[in-house]
Amino acid sequence: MLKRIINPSRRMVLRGACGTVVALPLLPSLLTRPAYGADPIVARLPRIYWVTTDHGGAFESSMFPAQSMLTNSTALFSDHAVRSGALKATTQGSDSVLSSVLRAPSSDLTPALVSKMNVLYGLDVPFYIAHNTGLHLGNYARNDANGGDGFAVQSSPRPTIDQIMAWSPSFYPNLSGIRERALVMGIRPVSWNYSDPSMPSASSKIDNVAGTASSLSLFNRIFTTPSTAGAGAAPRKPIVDRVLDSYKRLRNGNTRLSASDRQRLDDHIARIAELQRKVNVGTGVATCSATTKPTDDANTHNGNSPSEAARQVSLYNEVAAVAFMCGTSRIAVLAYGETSKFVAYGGDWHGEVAHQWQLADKQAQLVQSYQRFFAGVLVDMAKRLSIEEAPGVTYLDNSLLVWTQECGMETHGSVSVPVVTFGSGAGALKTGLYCDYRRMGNKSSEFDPGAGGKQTLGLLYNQWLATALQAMRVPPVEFERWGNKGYGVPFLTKESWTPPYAKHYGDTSSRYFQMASDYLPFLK
Amino acid sequence: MRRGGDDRTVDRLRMVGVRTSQMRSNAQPPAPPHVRRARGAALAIASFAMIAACTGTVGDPGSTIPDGTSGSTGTGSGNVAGGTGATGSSGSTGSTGSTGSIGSTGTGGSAGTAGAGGPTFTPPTFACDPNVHPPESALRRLTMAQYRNTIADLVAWASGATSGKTIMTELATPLAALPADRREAVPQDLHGSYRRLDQTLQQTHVDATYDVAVAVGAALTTTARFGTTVGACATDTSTANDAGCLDAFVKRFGARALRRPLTADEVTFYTSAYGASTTASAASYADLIGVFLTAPEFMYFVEHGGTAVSGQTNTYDVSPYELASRLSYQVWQTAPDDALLAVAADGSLMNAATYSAEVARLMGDARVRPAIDEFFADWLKVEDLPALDAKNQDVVFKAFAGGDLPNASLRQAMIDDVLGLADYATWTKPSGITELLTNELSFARDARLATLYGVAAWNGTSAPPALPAGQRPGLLTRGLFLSTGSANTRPIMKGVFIRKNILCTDIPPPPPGVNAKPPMLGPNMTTRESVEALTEMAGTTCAGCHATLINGLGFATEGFDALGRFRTTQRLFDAAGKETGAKAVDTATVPHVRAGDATPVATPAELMTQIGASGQVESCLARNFFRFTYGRWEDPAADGCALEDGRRALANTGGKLTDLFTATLLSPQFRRRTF
Repeated sequence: MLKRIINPSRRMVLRGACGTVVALPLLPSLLTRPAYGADPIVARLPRIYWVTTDHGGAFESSMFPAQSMLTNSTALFSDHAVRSGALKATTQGSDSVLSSVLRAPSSDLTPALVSKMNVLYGLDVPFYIAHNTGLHLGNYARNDANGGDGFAVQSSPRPTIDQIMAWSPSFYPNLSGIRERALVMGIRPVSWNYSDPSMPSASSKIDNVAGTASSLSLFNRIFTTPSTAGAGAAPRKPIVDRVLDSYKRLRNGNTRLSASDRQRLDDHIARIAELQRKVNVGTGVATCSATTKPTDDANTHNGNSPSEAARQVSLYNEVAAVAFMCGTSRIAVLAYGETSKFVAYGGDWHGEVAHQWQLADKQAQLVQSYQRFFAGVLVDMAKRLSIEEAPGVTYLDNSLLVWTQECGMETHGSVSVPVVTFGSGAGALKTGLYCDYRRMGNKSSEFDPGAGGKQTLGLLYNQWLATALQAMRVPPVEFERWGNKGYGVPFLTKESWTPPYAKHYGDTSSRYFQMASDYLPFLK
Repeated sequence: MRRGGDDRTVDRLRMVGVRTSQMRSNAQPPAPPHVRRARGAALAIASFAMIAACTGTVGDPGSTIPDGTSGSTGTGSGNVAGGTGATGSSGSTGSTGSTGSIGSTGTGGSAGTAGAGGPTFTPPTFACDPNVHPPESALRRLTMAQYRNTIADLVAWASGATSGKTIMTELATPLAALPADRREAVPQDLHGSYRRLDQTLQQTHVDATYDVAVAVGAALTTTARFGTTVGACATDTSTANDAGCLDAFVKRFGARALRRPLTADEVTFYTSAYGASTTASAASYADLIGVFLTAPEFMYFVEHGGTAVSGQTNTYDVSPYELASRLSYQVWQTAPDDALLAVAADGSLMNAATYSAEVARLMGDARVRPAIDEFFADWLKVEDLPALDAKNQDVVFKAFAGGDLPNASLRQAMIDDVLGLADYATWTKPSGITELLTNELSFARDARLATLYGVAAWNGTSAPPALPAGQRPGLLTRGLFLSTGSANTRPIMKGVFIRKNILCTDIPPPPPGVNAKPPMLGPNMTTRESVEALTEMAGTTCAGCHATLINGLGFATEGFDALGRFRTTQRLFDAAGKETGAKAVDTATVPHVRAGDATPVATPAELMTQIGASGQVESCLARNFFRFTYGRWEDPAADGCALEDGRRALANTGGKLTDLFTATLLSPQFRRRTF
């Protein structure tokens, strides 16, 4: 059992869907009440949790709420109206239902929780990216190069927005107490950053930030201080300063080194500086009153069953939630991957289901897996954070939870990549909205994928990434690159066979690309 | 995204023909230099060459491609089978054949000669230009396996063998926090290549190794070990000798930790790292040890080079100590021993005879085996085998497995079986590639796996049991490569694996809209029939690659089910797990091992014979061992000499796997570094 320094202002219970592993007594009446009402929104500290799944391929009729909810229409341009409406779940049996996928037990997906959701429809990656793990967070270069578009974009890697946030002085104006800038959970590659995050440049190498499969290991990282003592009982000054000197000594010496060697040493020096920062965080800043070390680990739950899948994710969620609540990290990314375990599929999910999404029986399996994922992962996390942090403000209110899929409504397609969120990001985003950004009624924006109904192009996924960054207080000046708006790579298909991206978006100087650093309509 | 098949074919060909200019003008942000290099290679190799090859229906002389004449004449390097348009296609792009490989001309394609005269099969070789130097090297860090071994050896050296083992036990917690070595995803192998290519520097590398270093410092300076680690001068009652004691320790321990003697400046630096204490302080020594064990010279292969190599700009022979480290870490995955340090110290390691003797000594030591095991494990991607028991609750899988329902250990047993075969062919019966491809002994020590093979479990010491004759030859017919963790085999993935990892031929990515309109699959179709229906549909671009590069290699082993059991029929099940019938499996196929070769095979043995005779495995294995050795992807133009040294060692009559490993160490490139 790890005992942490008590901060009496935050006593809480961290709930676990499958057994509480982190138990903190909650006495809301004892909570210190910061004067949030007097604080500008920007002063509140947002958290972000982003979970990613493979494939996509859920039809519009399965993924999104009914169009009848879209009661408001606003002319974005004279020929492009966008629509929105209040999310309202219906009750079917014991479930609260927004769509076939967005469905969960009514006891969990309460009206209050629905009011903190957003469902975003009509966000496109306007080129053929196909298999990828980089779309979610903005490194489009990480794709399998299925086609000329994918190849072209591979030459333009970018850090992912979780890492942009992690190293942003605007997101982390104060790093005291932050043990990990970002938790990357799961082993699928989903997060990237400069090899030296402290000194990014156009020529910087961009490396994958390795995820961690062990939730227990993640827990240890955010609740265990790096060693500070040598032999003997008395705490000693950490040796990290001297370690840093040994690298600088080699880096700046006059021995023969290649330019690559020097860059490598610079990268290492930056990491030591980060270690130095974390060592100096020490144990005195962690804000949880008592933390019980989990005894179960996510990486032991790989079984092919819905219960195993839910258990695995709940363990990740617990670590992320406790990190958010205890202030040891404010960013968590979970790269989940394929959702087959949520339906215990016994065959080859990739080939037999995801790639045959058009077939009714396969579509049903996809939808069921996503529904269980939604209820077991995203709603689970939302529930965990539905605890008051301050009067009238929950941790969920101060967070942004996001679920994105690898593809849109057809496997390999990236038209209308679904985005589902909870939380306002500490007041940055309006919630309770179903937003549809598609350019309805414009023939040149439409195409028929052959199954699941007609699709229509809308706004750029780049704009969603920029919206998320700004909701997390990262201003455009910190994320725009090469003079381009939005996040990701401003690239437009060069293929002739793709959906009518070129007809809809024109070129990369079009109005859609120009507005890509603006908040998405309705959200601000 | 649905498109007519004919239109797609035309589009793809047009795209191939114009892609160069598009890529230059459309990739809007300027790519960093390292990316540009990778892109260039990827384009030159994978994209142009193979897309054209596939759509041109390799090995189908006389076929034509609509609009093929729109392509420009291609140039390039690296091809299989000479790359002279031998596919018989119209040569739209003037492709260089496949990516696979090797040197030769790569000027092919032009207008396409419609396959006249059929293919010629030139054994692939690498062009060696001794005046071309390899690319600039970057500081390589120890893999985590190497790091662990180095720590273990160092604490044993410092405190004694018994104490060293105890200390490693005490270090279990910080060592467990070390990040795992990952099979690095590279543009040429997005799903993971070699652990030694994982040169990313994660924050966890720095954090965890810092913790280990501090913990080692503490462990070596406990009251019980302090005297042994530092010397009696540190524990006696005299303080007069403490300064000398520190100086001696810095030089002695430092030389071992940094794998070479310290310079005077370094002695000064590390002495200062001891801190302000003027007496022998265990805590200060612990700190000092911690600083040594986090030093760049401990964590990385820091190399400054020695004598310039004549005729090669910025290329130097590495110094004797640097060479000792290279050799030791390559072969033993740990720091040099006393003997190797001794020949580095007197400089004799730079003499050819001494160096060869040291290579032979290290290769003859049992410590080489874990390193070679790691090579085989990564080359064969053994970790890609999924959990075999994950679907034990699924009704179809249960019905399929019957009495052979996997347990949790079967997966590892399959991995051990294949590594056992590789170990046998390397060390027990030193052999070449043929043995890997044709060996008919079982190395299954696990009774459950042995049952799947129909033999008794091997006890690990006696002669391995013989498998049923002619049924299961070589590596590629073992459970590791056949099992899928589901009830169905995956012929496509088997074919892709052989094509890419055994033959080193790249396969272009799936065409867009690949599944836009899949055929309806009947419930009574075998896996092969389903795959053929899905991927070899007339009028689609899928067939070009699947029929010629992929499926045939996978179909030949369809005589084994998804648990690796031999079969002559495929049992069919409905969704409830009820067996609905059985159909004969068909293993007759044309694998197109070499581009343009339409020789059929009917059995796995015939496939292995074709693969072995192709000459491609030798060059492929040379490429792969290069990657393992140098921790980077090869550049055939710059690395041709080292690659050819390895390939030739295998291809020579009687060439053994160990000959490849040794030839790599003896290659001049192994002893040089470019700055």
